[in-house]
Amino acid sequence: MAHLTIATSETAVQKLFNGIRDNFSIDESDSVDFGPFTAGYEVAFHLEGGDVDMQADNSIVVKELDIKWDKLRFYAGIDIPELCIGGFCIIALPFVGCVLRAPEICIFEDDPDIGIDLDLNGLLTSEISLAAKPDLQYVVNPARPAGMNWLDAEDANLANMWKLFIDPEWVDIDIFDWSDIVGDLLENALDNAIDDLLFFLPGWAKDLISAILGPVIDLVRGILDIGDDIDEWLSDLLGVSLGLFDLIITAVADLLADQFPLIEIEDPFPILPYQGSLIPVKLPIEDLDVTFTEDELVITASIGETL
Amino acid sequence: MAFTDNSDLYGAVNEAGINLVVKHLKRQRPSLFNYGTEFIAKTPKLHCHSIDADPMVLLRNNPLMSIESPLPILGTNNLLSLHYCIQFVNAQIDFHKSNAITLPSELGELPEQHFAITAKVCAGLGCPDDRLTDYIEAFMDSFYEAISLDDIVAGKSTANIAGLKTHRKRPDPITIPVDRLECFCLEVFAVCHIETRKVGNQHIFSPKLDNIEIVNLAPEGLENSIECYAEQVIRLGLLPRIRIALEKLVFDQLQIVNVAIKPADSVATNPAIEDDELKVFIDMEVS
Repeated sequence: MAHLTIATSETAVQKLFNGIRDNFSIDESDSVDFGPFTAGYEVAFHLEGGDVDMQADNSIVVKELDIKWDKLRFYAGIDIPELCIGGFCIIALPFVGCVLRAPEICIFEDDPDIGIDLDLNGLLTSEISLAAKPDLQYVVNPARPAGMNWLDAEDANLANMWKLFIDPEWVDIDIFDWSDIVGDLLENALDNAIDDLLFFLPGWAKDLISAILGPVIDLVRGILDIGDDIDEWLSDLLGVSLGLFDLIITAVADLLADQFPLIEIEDPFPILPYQGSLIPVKLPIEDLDVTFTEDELVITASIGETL
Repeated sequence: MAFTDNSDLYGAVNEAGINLVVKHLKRQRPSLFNYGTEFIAKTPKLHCHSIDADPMVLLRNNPLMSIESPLPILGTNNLLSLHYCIQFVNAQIDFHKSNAITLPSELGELPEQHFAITAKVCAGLGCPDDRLTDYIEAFMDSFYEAISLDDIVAGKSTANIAGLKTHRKRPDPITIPVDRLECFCLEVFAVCHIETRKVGNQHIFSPKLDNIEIVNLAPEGLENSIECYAEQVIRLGLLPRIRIALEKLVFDQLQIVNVAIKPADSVATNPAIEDDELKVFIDMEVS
């Protein structure tokens, strides 16, 4: 029997998920200038929606998490050296100078002269769904010489680790979440139409009309999302991503997940640090286990008899 | 039934786990459990109970005992003192229902939502043998003025009677050397529970002592006095150090959300001491 049991309810995980989702945003921009060639990007997004569902098969599913692109702009340009033709003197008089010049035409005066500017600010919504399982591994520090005792390993920062990885089973990314994009556009159009056509109505009446028409827009969102829902349902059922792009994403996610553990627990685990010359007190952790059930995440561990 | 039916988070540790923690603590920090004079600390053969320390403790020259001052012999003006040691040999915890510790009849049955602690305490005094005492007695005789009956009859102040000889240099204090300690062991049992109270933004889980008993100690006054002393040590010295505070925590993996945690209201007894476990039910708010 495990000595220690820790459990987190699905509700708590959903609360944590919501908190991270609502507080997480990215706003990045950068540009490079190689003289005649310039390029840059502006990217900002936040997260909306989404749902967490724990499954009886020891997995967790994140459904339909929207990535709202607040800024999505890529630009690049080439600055061609300015080239001027003409401007030479046609008639020159003594003591007067040039009285008639050929017209001068310059091209490539701008900087950059040729460029693309892909600006999708506020237009796009992407959607991500994924399923993952916990993958707990005991990792013997590869740099630790054989026979090194636990205290020398502590001093040399070579302790072994329990590492909890999140192993993605499948990842489904809709770069263009048409249901939300069209839904948002419709909603904006509806709000504008109500404001323009029914300007004489008080605010509460406009809100009432918006509320009445809201379900229609939700229906459109739902209809447009049906294909994607089927795709995700099948992915969930088969445990594999459908679609080449999703397979690639899953492979990349697998690779990344394998590199970055979610939690690392030192073994033996320190409970008292060095105090002067007194050695630290550490507990051997055995039989660490992480399991998802339909209701909760359960972590169990035992304390070993000997270090 | 899920662990978290009535709360967001649940944590439980059983008595076997806590007893193992104490065991590791005792082997890796033996000086927390063993106290004695410097000579006793350096002479393991004199210990009342051999100390089972982790090999790393010896390898790093960590102390097996915390050094304490010797016990002064009263009346010697701190010239003479005795070696001693006190060792906490076995410490064990038993959460309700009681099955690991057999409580003495004086403490009765372990009540629900309570836990029992037992510890075997061994102590020893470095009592010199009679020949050494005879020698030291003769030595001490030479330092004191003999009581003069003439002085008493003459009504001189008793402050000067049997005082140290003023013409002799005061010797350095001596702790009488010994080659063995006179050891005895006591079994101490205690019954405790845990109280929860709110102080500011913190919810404090405080262990509280209900009753203590030292078995087979006579006379009764001696037993009561030692129990009283042990109670003061536990209530005033030990338990205040192991209160656990729940307060606002920051989720330290992503550093982007604050997680405030508090004891779950929907659980009647929280923390609960039952099924040989200490269980804590916690609700959390994320912002």
